[in-house]
Amino acid sequence: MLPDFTILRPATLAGACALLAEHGTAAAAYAGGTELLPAMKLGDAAPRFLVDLKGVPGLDPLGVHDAAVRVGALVTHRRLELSPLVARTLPALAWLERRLANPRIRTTGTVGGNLASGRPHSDLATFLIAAGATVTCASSTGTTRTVAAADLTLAPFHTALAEDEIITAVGIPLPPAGTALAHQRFVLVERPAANVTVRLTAAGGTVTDATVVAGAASPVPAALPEAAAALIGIPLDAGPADLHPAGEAAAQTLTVTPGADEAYQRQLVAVLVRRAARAALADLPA
Amino acid sequence: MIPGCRPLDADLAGDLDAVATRLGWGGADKPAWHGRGLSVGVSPAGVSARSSARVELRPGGRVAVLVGSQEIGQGARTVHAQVAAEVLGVPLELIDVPATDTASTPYDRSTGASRSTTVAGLAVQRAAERLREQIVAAAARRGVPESDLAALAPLAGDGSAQELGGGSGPALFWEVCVAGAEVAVDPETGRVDVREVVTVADVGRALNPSLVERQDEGCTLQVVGNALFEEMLFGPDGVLRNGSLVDYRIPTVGDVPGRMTCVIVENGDGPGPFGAKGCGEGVFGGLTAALVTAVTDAGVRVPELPMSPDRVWRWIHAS
Repeated sequence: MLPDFTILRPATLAGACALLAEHGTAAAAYAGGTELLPAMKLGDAAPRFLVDLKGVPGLDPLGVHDAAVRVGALVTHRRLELSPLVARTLPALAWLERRLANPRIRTTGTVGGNLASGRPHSDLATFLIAAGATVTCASSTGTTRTVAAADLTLAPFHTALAEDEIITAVGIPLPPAGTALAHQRFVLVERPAANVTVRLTAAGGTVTDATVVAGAASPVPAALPEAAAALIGIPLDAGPADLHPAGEAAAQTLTVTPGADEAYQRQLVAVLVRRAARAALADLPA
Repeated sequence: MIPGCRPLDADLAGDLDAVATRLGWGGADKPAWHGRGLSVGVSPAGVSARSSARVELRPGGRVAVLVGSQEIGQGARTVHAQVAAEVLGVPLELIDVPATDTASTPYDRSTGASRSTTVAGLAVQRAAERLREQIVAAAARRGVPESDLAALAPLAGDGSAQELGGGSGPALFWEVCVAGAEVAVDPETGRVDVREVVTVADVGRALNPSLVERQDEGCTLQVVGNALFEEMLFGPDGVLRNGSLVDYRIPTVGDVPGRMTCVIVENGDGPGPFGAKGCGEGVFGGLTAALVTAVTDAGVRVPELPMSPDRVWRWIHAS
């Protein structure tokens, strides 16, 4: 059952930040509620004030600006899933969004809420780190700052956001020609047990740059640089033997969530790294 | 056969042939990590003959079936209306099956154990037969055509399933399901992909074939959950650790097998209306074992359920 709370409906971003500053830890920003409300029902969170962002203008654009796909914090998973722009520029993101949770959650849950929850299972967080995305936040002092997606989640359910800060948008750099992303996830129960995004750049028939990020199996989504290094130099028509070292490096260097089934989590991440790399290779022009 | 219980009425050999044929048994070699299995499931069903029903011809000429077996999505009302319509020779549109009211609905023991069609349905059949006798008698007595129901109303007939007896065991009849499955195991992750499921519903008489198929499909989904991932996890303190639907996974649309085929076998050998037996629940026995056999055939020894991916991966790598 939901605990008692008061819902506050600011009309501006400055007003929303001011309310968060005023109420401090007693307040929580609220948009889709798909993370916050279940946490409240389970007794994991009990904010006395919900600052509803849905009436705040300017938080829901979705377009290209300065060579990046700009996604407002209130953009829902469903909008990303169905966006022709996303399908054209970031097909791996559209693939990921199509598989998240269920249509009802995707229609309600927002990009900003997903990231602000700090949930270690977030497919979106894993993808954004690999894509080199940035997260823009506004605060009650009227200033904004931009943090790398990789620096947003500090620990499970704990982000770099200050109490009075609100995520306003995410910027995902448009992949240049010769670069492809692919995401893989494996679900045992409701949320993914492991997820992996691989970003590859190729020139002259071989991979020249690589990024590998894994989440869900680890306390926070994080890059696996040794696995990425093992992908550099492999040919576009790489076979299983070419991809195997990257999987092994990922399995060996992954920080596994304490208490998890460690051997299986490492195995899953190794498999997903190989499969994501194969999918990214297939999307690169020969 | 259990002393005191009704013997098993089914053509098991014929049912097994039907499954094997549809699975392509003995055909082309399977790819690696693919497996097939089949199994016979029987479950004691019916539990008790204590079902009674009343069928009323009401003013205006509509027919009401008063029966205590509940509609819980399985189609009980539809089948009870069909039984009454068949016996009375009137169109289905003329039959109402109102919600149960303990003030006016005759006693019924329970809804479950696949007894709504076979046991409660038999009570409806007998009640409708009594009503038909009343209609014929009243028509003769009053010089009114039997088809002029409005002129003959009100009349009523009562019936029960007591002729099924009690016996000394749990089985008023045996519910039979012979099932087969084909699976593909991903040796890297341990995931079991159910490619195909065939269930043979040996139902005696399918009063509503579409509902029989839907029952088998529904139970197939429950078996997929039971066999592949559903599990209650308890901590050392005895407290359930996965008591929410976020932590306890039930089957969803994404878990539906690649193909599901329900073969209906009608040998008229059931004790219910027109030779019917119950259906649906039998799939638990048949299909669960068929899935275990299929995974074993794919090369994985299965010591316990559920065959969740993490376990299957460990079983593969333990051997």
